[in-house]
Amino acid sequence: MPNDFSVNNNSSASGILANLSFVQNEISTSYSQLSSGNRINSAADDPAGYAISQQMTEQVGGLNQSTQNAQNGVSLIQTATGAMNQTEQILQTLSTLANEAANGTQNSNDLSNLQDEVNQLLQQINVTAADTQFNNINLVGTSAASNITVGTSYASGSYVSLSASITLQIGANAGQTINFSLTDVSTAALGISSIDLTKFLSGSSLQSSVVSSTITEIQNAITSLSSAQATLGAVQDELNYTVSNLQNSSQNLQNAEATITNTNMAQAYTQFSQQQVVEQVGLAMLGQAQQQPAAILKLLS
Amino acid sequence: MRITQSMMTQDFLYNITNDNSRMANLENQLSTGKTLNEPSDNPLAVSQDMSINATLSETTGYQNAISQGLTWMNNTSSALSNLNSALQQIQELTLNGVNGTNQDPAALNALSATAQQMVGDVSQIMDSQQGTRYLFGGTATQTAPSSYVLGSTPPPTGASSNLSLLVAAGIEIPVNVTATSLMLTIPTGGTADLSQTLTSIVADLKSGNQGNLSTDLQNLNAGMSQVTGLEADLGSREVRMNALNSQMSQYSNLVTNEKGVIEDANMAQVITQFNTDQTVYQAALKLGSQVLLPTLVSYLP
Repeated sequence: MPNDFSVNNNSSASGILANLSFVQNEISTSYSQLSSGNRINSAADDPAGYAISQQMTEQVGGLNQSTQNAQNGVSLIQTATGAMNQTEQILQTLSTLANEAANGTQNSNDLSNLQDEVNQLLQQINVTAADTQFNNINLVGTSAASNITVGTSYASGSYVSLSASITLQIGANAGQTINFSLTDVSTAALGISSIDLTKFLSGSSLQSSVVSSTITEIQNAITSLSSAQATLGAVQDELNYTVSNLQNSSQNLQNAEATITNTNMAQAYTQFSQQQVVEQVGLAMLGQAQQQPAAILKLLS
Repeated sequence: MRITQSMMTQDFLYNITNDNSRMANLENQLSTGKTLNEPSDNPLAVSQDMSINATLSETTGYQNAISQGLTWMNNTSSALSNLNSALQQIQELTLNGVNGTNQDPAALNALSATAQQMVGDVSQIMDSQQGTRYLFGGTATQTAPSSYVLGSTPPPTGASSNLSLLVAAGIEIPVNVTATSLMLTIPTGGTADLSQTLTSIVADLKSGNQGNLSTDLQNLNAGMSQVTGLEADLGSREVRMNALNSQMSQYSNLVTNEKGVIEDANMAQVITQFNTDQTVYQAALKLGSQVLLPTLVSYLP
């Protein structure tokens, strides 16, 4: 029971003051929740919620970077398959030229002209193989491919074909990867470096065994190129699904994180208005309470 | 019985002195606002009052310790959340570097250089100070933590000790997080501590060692969970500190009121009594001047 007529200690005022500083604390919490939009602004606001949301934020950051990684992978594959498409068209042209040369109406001069064109085309395949890069990574052949000698004098075995595989990091955690091999599509790797149409004629007789082996070589090259394209296409397909899956997960996690950390604005603002009213009433009451001891002095006059 | 002049004078003097001393006591109470001005006023109440005063200053001491501790914890908490975002950026860099599309030396060098800068940021965060004391230094508050968690110097004595504050009788609460627990402790699910992980991330990004980077990523993720865990732990201690703080201020309020009850004068009562006594005193004085002054001598011819 406090002493109501004491002048040294105003118990009503100190009670009001304590309540007021409590309300003031609440108001400053409301300020930070409303202005940041977050219910949890530091670990002290809700340690468990903070830890969970922090883990989610880390996961979201990882997922977004993984999405970027997968998309880079798609770009890399598109670059590789673009080069392969070009090579495939050249192979089709080669096939046409070989068929043309196999026709008995060509003389050795014609064949020599056709071979010139074949050499150019083979060289183009090698240039494509040597030059196709993504971020300085060779995709369809090593840079030595442009040095392969095409035509009759090619000494097989002097070119070491590209043997590389790409590992894409497509998740935030270690080991969440996709791995695929790159295929060399230089003339040496496709086995068509030594195509020589001039050998179709020996004297004036058509060498049908040479013709059929040459055409088979070209067909085999087309088959192996198609299969390499199909493999890369499958990986690209997988990556597209990965991207949409990653984006989906990231989206869902961000939503989940938001429900934990975000301020319920309507609720927070209602509370804030209420606290403001309580604060104003508290201040008015404190003023009243402070005058109470002085009132006693009226007894002296 | 015979009443002599001298008896009346004696009685009058006796009464007026009594009146005077009562009024002196009341005046004393009025001017100090207290009933207890000397131990003799009320020996029992004075001894209670003294012990309440002791409790009150003890509580003020605890309140000071709590508010110091809270400042330290707030600073630590904000440094830790900076640490978290720095680590998240390093995680993104690592995910970038471990991706197969980025195996170009120039790209890797750039990633490694960025990671190196972020490690510099981490080291700066480790050296956060409050005043001239290192937040993460344990009880060795004068040695820069970066020198032993990211440098080669061995940790000084006390680097992993708790910095505890006495916040209530017999209750000590640690207010710090040590750099050694953040950086030099192997996290659950990891094989290396954060310090080693950061160093090897910078090196492995430079060399493009995808296998090592994958391990680094796992260690980094484990390390980040550990940091979040420590931050949440600090947050829980902050919650406890805040609760203690409001308990202490409530307690101090109560004790102050109790002190008021014991030592404060009931001013209404004192003033009323004083007014009454004043009237009595004035009456006595008036009586004295009228009754005591006339003597037989006055009627002598």
